[in-house]
Amino acid sequence: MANYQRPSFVKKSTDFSIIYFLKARKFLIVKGVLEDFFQDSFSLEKNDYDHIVENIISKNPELKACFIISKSTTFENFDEDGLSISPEFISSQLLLSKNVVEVRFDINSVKDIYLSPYRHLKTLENITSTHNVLSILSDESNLYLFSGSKIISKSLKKEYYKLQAQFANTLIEYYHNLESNPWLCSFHACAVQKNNKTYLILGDSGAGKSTLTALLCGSGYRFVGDDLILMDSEFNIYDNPAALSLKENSWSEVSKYHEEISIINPSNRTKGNIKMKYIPLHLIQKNSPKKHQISALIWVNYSPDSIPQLRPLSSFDICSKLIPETWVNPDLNYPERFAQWLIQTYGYQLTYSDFSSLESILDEHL
Amino acid sequence: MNKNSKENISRKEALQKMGKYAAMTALGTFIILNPKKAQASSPPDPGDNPFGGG
Repeated sequence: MANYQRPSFVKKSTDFSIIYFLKARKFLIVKGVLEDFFQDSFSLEKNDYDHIVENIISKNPELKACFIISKSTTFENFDEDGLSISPEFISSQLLLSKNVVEVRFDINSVKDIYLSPYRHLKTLENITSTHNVLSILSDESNLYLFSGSKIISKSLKKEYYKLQAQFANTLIEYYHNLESNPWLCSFHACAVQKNNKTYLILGDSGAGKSTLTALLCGSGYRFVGDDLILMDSEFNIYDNPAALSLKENSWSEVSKYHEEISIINPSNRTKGNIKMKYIPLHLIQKNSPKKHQISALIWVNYSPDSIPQLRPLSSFDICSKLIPETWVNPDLNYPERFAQWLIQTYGYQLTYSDFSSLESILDEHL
Repeated sequence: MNKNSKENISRKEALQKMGKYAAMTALGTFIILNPKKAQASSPPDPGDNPFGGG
């Protein structure tokens, strides 16, 4: 009989349980009799456990993936010997709050992509006393992210966007003066704050996350971040110093709330032939870097001609929607901390077509 | 003797549960959810990748 993995933890919610399998790196949400089984699973003898799992898998073959070991996807062990990295690079300096960071690239196109959201942070003069040096250097097939002289991450060149997230993370750490924070999770989301309440704005690509964020920031909300939000193990999320990126089809609506948008030049970068503008941080966030506790999650869906609606989501739906969109630190007890946070978090589905009719709904319900 | 009895009861309970779980699994609801394997920005649109992939 196979040697099946036991769950790392079982976290009970009102009418379902969240289960995590460390070695498969999978969450399982169950309702009904399976909840009883996983609650009991820690006290069952190994043979009995394996026998029951085999029975369960025979009726639900897709569950097998939870009980087996996944291939590791980490790349913590870097072999720095034998790297053939060009000593020539292009350098810029960014002012992140009180930290001056020198960023170095040896490929111009990578520099353009990575630095587009940070152009507003570039220093005009060369400051000799830089605090940190962050380098993205390449060899024949890979890109490497260095902090000082230490490699902290790498990716294939054709998957440069994977390293881009690590680059953005590191800039957030510099912005908040953090020492390589062990993050609990990261969200592909935007975030805003009003009246000491912070909202994470989620949605499919193109659903209007950044547009809604810009509109909210033009009507009294404080900007927290665009595209990437990091959360620590105490459930704090951190201001992201990157600019807010807006696609061309949103410029007209957003300019009603941000007059400055009309005088901002489009970026040289396009996204799938769509022109982009980057709203610099100082136009939407006046305060120094802050961290926040999330009050609610909002899944946005811009739908022309729809009636504006803010519908509460069940905890089951929140878990089902958020986990596949989130990177959760697989180390230590982070997945359990994440599950603990998730089952007590509120969430809403927001549908709208006209922002002016939405403001009163948000003010009333949030 | 007592120890053996306890083991027998435990085993019996396990077997009973085994039958219960196996019989009722099909009635339970489950969703397998894979969190993202790595922190990553959105993959680029076709034609935007300077290295030709993605």
